[in-house]
Amino acid sequence: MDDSQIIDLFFERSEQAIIELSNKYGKVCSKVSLNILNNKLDAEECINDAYLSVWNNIPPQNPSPLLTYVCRIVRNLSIKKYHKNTAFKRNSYYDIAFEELEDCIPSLNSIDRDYNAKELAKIIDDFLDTLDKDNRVMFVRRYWFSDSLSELSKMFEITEHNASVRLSRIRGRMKKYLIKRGVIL
Amino acid sequence: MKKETFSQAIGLIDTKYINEALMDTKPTKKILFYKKPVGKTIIAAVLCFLILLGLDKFYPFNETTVLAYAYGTNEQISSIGTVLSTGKVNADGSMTGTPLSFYIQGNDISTIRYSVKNQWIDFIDWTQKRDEFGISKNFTVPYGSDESEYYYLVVNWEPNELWEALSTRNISITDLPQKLLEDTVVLEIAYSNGKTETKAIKINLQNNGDFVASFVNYSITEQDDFINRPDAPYIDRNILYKQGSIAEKQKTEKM
Repeated sequence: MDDSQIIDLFFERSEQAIIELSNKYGKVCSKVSLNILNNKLDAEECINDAYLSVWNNIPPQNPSPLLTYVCRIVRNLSIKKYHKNTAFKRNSYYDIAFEELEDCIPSLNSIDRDYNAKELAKIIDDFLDTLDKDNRVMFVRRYWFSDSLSELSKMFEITEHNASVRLSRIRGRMKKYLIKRGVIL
Repeated sequence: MKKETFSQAIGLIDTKYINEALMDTKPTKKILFYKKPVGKTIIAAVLCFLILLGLDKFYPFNETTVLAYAYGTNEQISSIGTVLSTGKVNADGSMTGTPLSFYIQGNDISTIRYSVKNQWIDFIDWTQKRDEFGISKNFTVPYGSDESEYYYLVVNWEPNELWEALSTRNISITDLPQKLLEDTVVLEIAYSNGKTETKAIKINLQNNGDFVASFVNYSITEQDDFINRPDAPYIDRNILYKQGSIAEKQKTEKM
Protein backbone atom coordinates (compact mmCIF):
# COMPACT_ATOMS: atom_id res chain seq x y z
CA MET A 1 0.00 0.00 0.00
CA ASP A 2 1.23 3.49 -0.85
CA ASP A 3 2.11 5.92 1.93
CA SER A 4 -0.61 8.25 0.70
CA GLN A 5 -3.21 5.47 1.04
CA ILE A 6 -2.08 4.75 4.60
CA ILE A 7 -2.30 8.43 5.43
CA ASP A 8 -5.76 8.52 3.91
CA LEU A 9 -6.75 5.74 6.30
CA PHE A 10 -5.44 7.81 9.20
CA PHE A 11 -7.48 10.75 7.98
CA GLU A 12 -10.51 8.49 7.79
CA ARG A 13 -9.74 7.46 11.36
CA SER A 14 -9.64 3.84 10.28
CA GLU A 15 -7.80 1.49 12.62
CA GLN A 16 -6.68 -0.32 9.49
CA ALA A 17 -4.18 2.53 9.18
CA ILE A 18 -2.16 1.21 12.14
CA ILE A 19 -2.22 -2.33 10.72
CA GLU A 20 -1.03 -1.16 7.32
CA LEU A 21 1.63 1.06 8.91
CA SER A 22 2.83 -1.85 11.00
CA ASN A 23 2.81 -4.22 8.02
CA LYS A 24 4.79 -1.84 5.92
CA TYR A 25 7.22 -0.25 8.36
CA GLY A 26 7.05 -2.38 11.48
CA LYS A 27 10.30 -4.13 10.75
CA VAL A 28 12.25 -0.93 10.21
CA CYS A 29 10.76 0.67 13.31
CA SER A 30 11.54 -2.40 15.33
CA LYS A 31 15.16 -2.31 14.21
CA VAL A 32 15.55 1.39 15.06
CA SER A 33 14.17 0.82 18.52
CA LEU A 34 16.07 -2.40 19.16
CA ASN A 35 19.35 -0.76 18.21
CA ILE A 36 18.78 1.76 20.98
CA LEU A 37 17.15 -0.33 23.64
CA ASN A 38 18.54 -3.78 22.97
CA ASN A 39 15.36 -5.14 24.50
CA LYS A 40 12.54 -6.64 22.50
CA LEU A 41 9.76 -5.84 24.96
CA ASP A 42 10.88 -2.26 25.45
CA ALA A 43 11.21 -1.88 21.70
CA GLU A 44 7.69 -3.22 21.10
CA GLU A 45 6.35 -0.83 23.72
CA CYS A 46 8.09 2.10 22.06
CA ILE A 47 6.79 1.11 18.64
CA ASN A 48 3.24 0.86 19.91
CA ASP A 49 3.64 4.27 21.56
CA ALA A 50 4.95 5.57 18.26
CA TYR A 51 1.93 4.22 16.37
CA LEU A 52 -0.32 5.91 18.92
CA SER A 53 1.60 9.12 18.44
CA VAL A 54 1.16 8.85 14.67
CA TRP A 55 -2.56 8.18 15.19
CA ASN A 56 -2.82 11.31 17.33
CA ASN A 57 -0.89 13.53 14.94
CA ILE A 58 -2.37 12.45 11.60
CA PRO A 59 -4.50 14.39 11.03
CA PRO A 60 -3.84 17.28 11.12
CA GLN A 61 -0.26 16.41 10.03
CA ASN A 62 0.29 14.92 6.60
CA PRO A 63 3.91 13.76 6.72
CA SER A 64 5.94 12.95 3.69
CA PRO A 65 7.78 10.69 3.66
CA LEU A 66 5.86 8.66 6.19
CA LEU A 67 8.63 6.24 7.07
CA THR A 68 11.04 8.96 8.16
CA TYR A 69 8.30 10.53 10.23
CA VAL A 70 7.52 7.26 12.02
CA CYS A 71 11.18 6.40 12.49
CA ARG A 72 11.84 9.75 14.08
CA ILE A 73 9.04 9.19 16.57
CA VAL A 74 10.25 5.65 17.28
CA ARG A 75 13.77 6.88 17.85
CA ASN A 76 12.74 9.70 20.16
CA LEU A 77 10.55 7.44 22.22
CA SER A 78 13.25 4.77 22.34
CA ILE A 79 15.85 7.24 23.56
CA LYS A 80 13.46 8.51 26.20
CA LYS A 81 12.88 4.95 27.28
CA TYR A 82 16.59 4.30 27.22
CA HIS A 83 17.29 7.21 29.55
CA LYS A 84 14.43 6.20 31.77
CA ASN A 85 15.18 2.58 32.38
CA THR A 86 18.70 1.79 31.27
CA ALA A 87 20.71 4.36 33.13
CA PHE A 88 22.85 1.65 34.71
CA LYS A 89 23.15 -0.81 31.88
CA ARG A 90 24.91 0.34 28.82
CA ASN A 91 24.97 -2.42 26.32
CA SER A 92 23.03 -1.32 23.25
CA TYR A 93 24.28 -0.28 19.81
CA TYR A 94 23.12 3.18 20.74
CA ASP A 95 25.56 3.21 23.67
CA ILE A 96 28.43 2.12 21.51
CA ALA A 97 27.61 4.54 18.71
CA PHE A 98 27.09 7.41 21.09
CA GLU A 99 30.33 6.73 22.94
CA GLU A 100 32.13 7.14 19.63
CA LEU A 101 30.65 10.61 19.35
CA GLU A 102 31.80 11.68 22.79
CA ASP A 103 35.02 13.08 21.37
CA CYS A 104 32.98 15.48 19.30
CA ILE A 105 30.84 16.70 22.15
CA PRO A 106 31.82 20.13 23.45
CA SER A 107 33.26 20.01 26.92
CA LEU A 108 31.36 21.70 29.69
CA ASN A 109 34.03 24.26 30.51
CA SER A 110 35.09 25.08 27.00
CA ILE A 111 32.12 27.04 25.78
CA ASP A 112 30.42 30.13 26.99
CA ARG A 113 27.00 29.59 25.72
CA ASP A 114 24.88 26.54 25.85
CA TYR A 115 23.66 25.40 22.49
CA ASN A 116 20.20 24.00 22.46
CA ALA A 117 19.50 20.83 20.54
CA LYS A 118 17.84 22.63 17.66
CA GLU A 119 20.76 24.98 17.11
CA LEU A 120 23.19 22.12 17.25
CA ALA A 121 21.04 20.06 14.88
CA LYS A 122 21.21 22.90 12.37
CA ILE A 123 25.01 22.90 12.57
CA ILE A 124 25.10 19.11 12.19
CA ASP A 125 22.81 19.49 9.16
CA ASP A 126 25.30 21.94 7.66
CA PHE A 127 28.11 19.51 8.38
CA LEU A 128 26.23 16.66 6.72
CA ASP A 129 25.91 18.82 3.64
CA THR A 130 29.69 18.89 3.38
CA LEU A 131 29.91 15.09 3.20
CA ASP A 132 29.55 12.99 0.11
CA LYS A 133 26.47 10.83 -0.08
CA ASP A 134 28.07 7.56 1.04
CA ASN A 135 29.68 9.12 4.09
CA ARG A 136 26.55 11.03 4.96
CA VAL A 137 24.38 7.92 4.78
CA MET A 138 26.93 5.99 6.80
CA PHE A 139 26.99 8.70 9.47
CA VAL A 140 23.21 8.83 9.74
CA ARG A 141 22.91 5.05 9.74
CA ARG A 142 25.42 4.84 12.56
CA TYR A 143 24.42 7.76 14.77
CA TRP A 144 20.75 8.17 14.03
CA PHE A 145 19.71 4.58 13.42
CA SER A 146 22.47 3.19 15.67
CA ASP A 147 23.33 0.52 13.12
CA SER A 148 26.16 -1.79 14.13
CA LEU A 149 29.48 -1.87 12.27
CA SER A 150 28.58 -5.33 11.05
CA GLU A 151 25.34 -4.03 9.52
CA LEU A 152 27.14 -1.08 7.97
CA SER A 153 29.81 -3.30 6.49
CA LYS A 154 27.12 -5.39 4.78
CA MET A 155 25.18 -2.32 3.69
CA PHE A 156 28.21 -0.63 2.17
CA GLU A 157 29.93 -3.81 0.98
CA ILE A 158 33.06 -3.05 2.95
CA THR A 159 34.83 -4.65 5.88
CA GLU A 160 33.93 -3.74 9.46
CA HIS A 161 37.38 -2.30 9.89
CA ASN A 162 36.91 -0.16 6.83
CA ALA A 163 33.55 1.06 8.14
CA SER A 164 35.13 1.86 11.47
CA VAL A 165 37.96 3.82 9.84
CA ARG A 166 35.56 5.75 7.64
CA LEU A 167 33.37 6.66 10.61
CA SER A 168 36.42 7.73 12.57
CA ARG A 169 37.42 10.06 9.75
CA ILE A 170 33.91 11.48 9.54
CA ARG A 171 33.95 12.15 13.28
CA GLY A 172 37.31 13.86 12.92
CA ARG A 173 35.88 16.06 10.23
CA MET A 174 32.82 16.81 12.33
CA LYS A 175 34.95 17.82 15.28
CA LYS A 176 36.90 20.24 13.10
CA TYR A 177 33.65 21.56 11.69
CA LEU A 178 32.14 22.13 15.12
CA ILE A 179 35.30 23.94 16.25
CA LYS A 180 35.10 26.11 13.14
CA ARG A 181 31.50 26.94 13.90
CA GLY A 182 32.42 27.90 17.47
CA VAL A 183 30.71 24.97 19.15
CA ILE A 184 33.99 23.72 20.54
CA LEU A 185 36.64 26.23 21.49
CA MET B 1 26.85 20.97 26.95
CA LYS B 2 25.14 17.84 28.03
CA LYS B 3 25.52 14.62 26.13
CA GLU B 4 21.77 14.40 25.99
CA THR B 5 21.61 17.68 24.10
CA PHE B 6 24.03 16.33 21.55
CA SER B 7 22.10 13.10 21.27
CA GLN B 8 18.92 15.12 20.90
CA ALA B 9 20.56 17.25 18.23
CA ILE B 10 21.51 14.16 16.22
CA GLY B 11 17.88 13.11 16.55
CA LEU B 12 16.75 16.45 15.17
CA ILE B 13 18.75 16.44 11.98
CA ASP B 14 16.85 17.25 8.84
CA THR B 15 14.35 14.67 7.64
CA LYS B 16 15.99 14.57 4.22
CA TYR B 17 19.11 12.95 5.68
CA ILE B 18 17.11 10.31 7.50
CA ASN B 19 15.09 9.69 4.41
CA GLU B 20 18.25 9.43 2.33
CA ALA B 21 19.69 6.92 4.80
CA LEU B 22 16.48 4.93 4.72
CA MET B 23 16.03 4.87 1.00
CA ASP B 24 19.51 4.86 -0.34
CA THR B 25 21.68 2.45 1.53
CA LYS B 26 23.38 1.03 -1.52
CA PRO B 27 26.90 2.37 -1.80
CA THR B 28 27.53 4.66 -4.68
CA LYS B 29 29.28 2.67 -7.33
CA LYS B 30 32.64 4.15 -8.08
CA ILE B 31 32.69 5.35 -11.64
CA LEU B 32 35.72 3.85 -13.25
CA PHE B 33 38.16 6.28 -14.76
CA TYR B 34 37.59 5.03 -18.28
CA LYS B 35 33.83 5.50 -17.91
CA LYS B 36 34.06 9.13 -16.86
CA PRO B 37 33.78 11.71 -19.66
CA VAL B 38 37.21 13.07 -18.83
CA GLY B 39 38.64 9.55 -18.82
CA LYS B 40 37.06 8.83 -22.18
CA THR B 41 38.53 12.03 -23.58
CA ILE B 42 41.98 11.23 -22.28
CA ILE B 43 41.85 7.68 -23.61
CA ALA B 44 40.64 8.95 -27.01
CA ALA B 45 43.47 11.49 -27.08
CA VAL B 46 46.05 8.86 -26.19
CA LEU B 47 44.68 6.51 -28.84
CA CYS B 48 44.80 9.26 -31.46
CA PHE B 49 48.34 10.03 -30.45
CA LEU B 50 49.33 6.38 -30.70
CA ILE B 51 47.64 6.05 -34.07
CA LEU B 52 49.44 9.12 -35.34
CA LEU B 53 52.66 7.75 -33.93
CA GLY B 54 52.00 4.47 -35.70
CA LEU B 55 51.19 6.26 -38.94
CA ASP B 56 54.28 8.31 -38.64
CA LYS B 57 56.34 5.18 -38.21
CA PHE B 58 54.73 2.95 -40.76
CA TYR B 59 53.01 5.14 -43.30
CA PRO B 60 55.23 5.10 -46.37
CA PHE B 61 54.89 8.81 -47.16
CA ASN B 62 56.11 9.77 -43.75
CA GLU B 63 58.79 7.17 -43.61
CA THR B 64 62.13 8.58 -42.74
CA THR B 65 64.10 5.35 -42.75
CA VAL B 66 66.76 5.08 -45.36
CA LEU B 67 68.90 2.17 -46.36
CA ALA B 68 72.43 2.07 -47.71
CA TYR B 69 73.64 -0.32 -50.38
CA ALA B 70 77.03 -1.14 -51.76
CA TYR B 71 77.14 0.06 -55.34
CA GLY B 72 77.95 -2.70 -57.76
CA THR B 73 76.90 -5.63 -55.60
CA ASN B 74 73.68 -4.00 -54.27
CA GLU B 75 74.43 -5.58 -50.96
CA GLN B 76 72.68 -3.82 -48.12
CA ILE B 77 74.99 -2.30 -45.55
CA SER B 78 73.45 -3.51 -42.33
CA SER B 79 73.59 -1.98 -38.90
CA ILE B 80 75.54 -4.90 -37.48
CA GLY B 81 78.19 -4.78 -40.17
CA THR B 82 78.62 -6.03 -43.69
CA VAL B 83 81.87 -7.35 -45.09
CA LEU B 84 82.45 -5.44 -48.28
CA SER B 85 83.27 -7.64 -51.22
CA THR B 86 84.15 -4.90 -53.67
CA GLY B 87 87.64 -4.29 -52.38
CA LYS B 88 90.19 -5.43 -49.86
CA VAL B 89 93.78 -5.13 -48.72
CA ASN B 90 95.86 -8.12 -49.72
CA ALA B 91 98.39 -9.88 -47.52
CA ASP B 92 101.26 -8.13 -49.28
CA GLY B 93 99.72 -4.72 -48.59
CA SER B 94 98.51 -4.22 -52.13
CA MET B 95 94.90 -3.20 -52.75
CA THR B 96 92.20 -4.81 -54.84
CA GLY B 97 89.06 -3.04 -56.09
CA THR B 98 87.25 -0.20 -54.39
CA PRO B 99 86.40 -0.86 -50.79
CA LEU B 100 83.19 1.14 -50.62
CA SER B 101 80.94 2.82 -53.13
CA PHE B 102 77.42 3.20 -51.91
CA TYR B 103 74.04 4.65 -52.66
CA ILE B 104 71.06 5.48 -50.49
CA GLN B 105 67.49 4.32 -50.87
CA GLY B 106 64.59 6.04 -49.16
CA ASN B 107 61.51 8.18 -49.64
CA ASP B 108 61.20 11.86 -50.41
CA ILE B 109 64.75 12.76 -49.54
CA SER B 110 65.44 16.39 -50.14
CA THR B 111 69.18 16.53 -49.53
CA ILE B 112 71.93 14.56 -47.88
CA ARG B 113 75.00 16.24 -46.57
CA TYR B 114 77.96 13.89 -46.43
CA SER B 115 80.90 14.43 -44.10
CA VAL B 116 83.81 12.05 -43.74
CA LYS B 117 85.95 11.94 -40.66
CA ASN B 118 89.38 10.62 -41.63
CA GLN B 119 89.62 9.80 -45.32
CA TRP B 120 87.95 11.25 -48.41
CA ILE B 121 84.75 10.89 -50.37
CA ASP B 122 83.54 11.88 -53.83
CA PHE B 123 80.17 11.91 -55.51
CA ILE B 124 79.05 10.81 -58.95
CA ASP B 125 75.58 11.34 -60.35
CA TRP B 126 75.11 8.82 -63.12
CA THR B 127 71.97 10.66 -64.24
CA GLN B 128 74.22 13.67 -64.86
CA LYS B 129 71.55 15.99 -63.51
CA ARG B 130 73.33 17.13 -60.37
CA ASP B 131 76.58 18.80 -59.64
CA GLU B 132 79.27 16.31 -58.76
CA PHE B 133 82.04 16.47 -56.21
CA GLY B 134 85.60 15.33 -56.55
CA ILE B 135 87.76 14.08 -53.70
CA SER B 136 86.61 16.07 -50.74
CA LYS B 137 85.57 15.90 -47.12
CA ASN B 138 82.08 17.43 -47.06
CA PHE B 139 79.41 18.04 -49.64
CA THR B 140 75.65 18.20 -49.99
CA VAL B 141 73.78 16.23 -52.60
CA PRO B 142 70.26 17.18 -53.69
CA TYR B 143 68.09 14.09 -54.10
CA GLY B 144 64.57 15.19 -55.07
CA SER B 145 61.24 13.49 -55.42
CA ASP B 146 62.22 11.02 -58.14
CA GLU B 147 63.27 8.11 -56.00
CA SER B 148 64.24 6.04 -59.01
CA GLU B 149 67.29 8.29 -59.40
CA TYR B 150 68.63 7.57 -55.95
CA TYR B 151 70.30 4.42 -57.17
CA TYR B 152 72.47 6.47 -59.49
CA LEU B 153 73.69 8.87 -56.84
CA VAL B 154 76.88 7.17 -55.78
CA VAL B 155 79.27 8.19 -53.06
CA ASN B 156 82.74 6.67 -53.12
CA TRP B 157 84.84 6.35 -50.04
CA GLU B 158 88.42 7.10 -50.93
CA PRO B 159 90.92 5.98 -48.27
CA ASN B 160 93.86 7.74 -49.84
CA GLU B 161 95.89 8.05 -46.65
CA LEU B 162 95.43 4.35 -46.04
CA TRP B 163 96.67 3.44 -49.50
CA GLU B 164 99.61 5.73 -49.07
CA ALA B 165 100.54 4.23 -45.74
CA LEU B 166 100.27 0.70 -47.04
CA SER B 167 102.08 1.24 -50.31
CA THR B 168 104.57 4.04 -49.80
CA ARG B 169 105.47 3.54 -46.18
CA ASN B 170 105.21 -0.21 -46.41
CA ILE B 171 103.35 -0.63 -43.12
CA SER B 172 101.35 -3.76 -42.35
CA ILE B 173 97.70 -3.55 -41.27
CA THR B 174 98.46 -4.38 -37.67
CA ASP B 175 100.89 -1.48 -37.47
CA LEU B 176 98.47 1.08 -38.85
CA PRO B 177 97.31 3.84 -36.54
CA GLN B 178 93.67 3.65 -35.44
CA LYS B 179 92.81 6.68 -37.52
CA LEU B 180 93.64 4.75 -40.68
CA LEU B 181 91.88 1.56 -39.58
CA GLU B 182 88.50 3.15 -39.18
CA ASP B 183 86.43 5.92 -40.63
CA THR B 184 82.99 7.44 -40.40
CA VAL B 185 80.86 8.98 -43.10
CA VAL B 186 78.06 11.00 -41.54
CA LEU B 187 74.86 11.54 -43.51
CA GLU B 188 72.69 14.49 -42.48
CA ILE B 189 69.45 13.66 -44.23
CA ALA B 190 66.72 16.24 -44.86
CA TYR B 191 63.35 15.03 -46.11
CA SER B 192 60.92 17.00 -48.21
CA ASN B 193 58.39 16.93 -45.34
CA GLY B 194 60.85 18.89 -43.21
CA LYS B 195 62.00 15.99 -41.09
CA THR B 196 65.66 15.28 -40.60
CA GLU B 197 67.75 12.41 -39.36
CA THR B 198 71.39 11.61 -39.06
CA LYS B 199 72.95 8.34 -40.09
CA ALA B 200 76.50 7.17 -40.46
CA ILE B 201 78.42 4.56 -42.33
CA LYS B 202 81.19 3.26 -40.15
CA ILE B 203 84.05 1.54 -41.92
CA ASN B 204 86.63 -0.71 -40.31
CA LEU B 205 89.64 -2.42 -41.81
CA GLN B 206 90.04 -5.90 -40.37
CA ASN B 207 93.40 -7.57 -39.80
CA ASN B 208 92.67 -9.96 -42.64
CA GLY B 209 92.33 -7.05 -45.04
CA ASP B 210 88.55 -7.07 -45.28
CA PHE B 211 86.58 -3.90 -44.92
CA VAL B 212 83.47 -4.05 -42.79
CA ALA B 213 80.86 -1.31 -43.04
CA SER B 214 77.82 -0.69 -40.90
CA PHE B 215 74.96 1.73 -41.44
CA VAL B 216 73.78 3.12 -38.11
CA ASN B 217 71.90 5.98 -36.48
CA TYR B 218 74.23 8.74 -35.46
CA SER B 219 74.18 11.65 -33.03
CA ILE B 220 76.48 14.50 -33.83
CA THR B 221 78.50 15.60 -30.83
CA GLU B 222 80.72 18.58 -30.11
CA GLN B 223 83.75 16.42 -30.82
CA ASP B 224 82.63 15.90 -34.39
CA ASP B 225 84.56 18.85 -35.80
CA PHE B 226 84.69 17.25 -39.22
CA ILE B 227 80.96 17.95 -39.62
CA ASN B 228 81.59 21.69 -39.37
CA ARG B 229 83.94 21.85 -42.29
CA PRO B 230 82.47 23.81 -45.18
CA ASP B 231 81.12 21.98 -48.19
CA ALA B 232 83.53 21.40 -51.03
CA PRO B 233 82.81 23.24 -54.28
CA TYR B 234 81.24 21.09 -56.97
CA ILE B 235 83.11 20.27 -60.11
CA ASP B 236 82.43 22.64 -62.95
CA ARG B 237 80.25 20.81 -65.45
CA ASN B 238 82.26 22.28 -68.32
CA ILE B 239 85.32 20.52 -66.99
CA LEU B 240 83.45 17.39 -66.08
CA TYR B 241 81.76 16.94 -69.42
CA LYS B 242 84.17 18.82 -71.69
CA GLN B 243 84.69 15.78 -73.86
CA GLY B 244 80.92 15.46 -74.22
CA SER B 245 78.75 13.03 -72.38
CA ILE B 246 75.69 11.32 -73.78
CA ALA B 247 73.45 13.72 -71.93
CA GLU B 248 75.34 16.72 -73.15
CA LYS B 249 75.24 15.40 -76.70
CA GLN B 250 71.51 14.85 -76.50
CA LYS B 251 71.13 18.34 -75.12
CA THR B 252 73.16 19.80 -77.97
CA GLU B 253 71.27 17.81 -80.59
CA LYS B 254 67.95 19.08 -79.26
CA MET B 255 69.17 22.65 -79.45
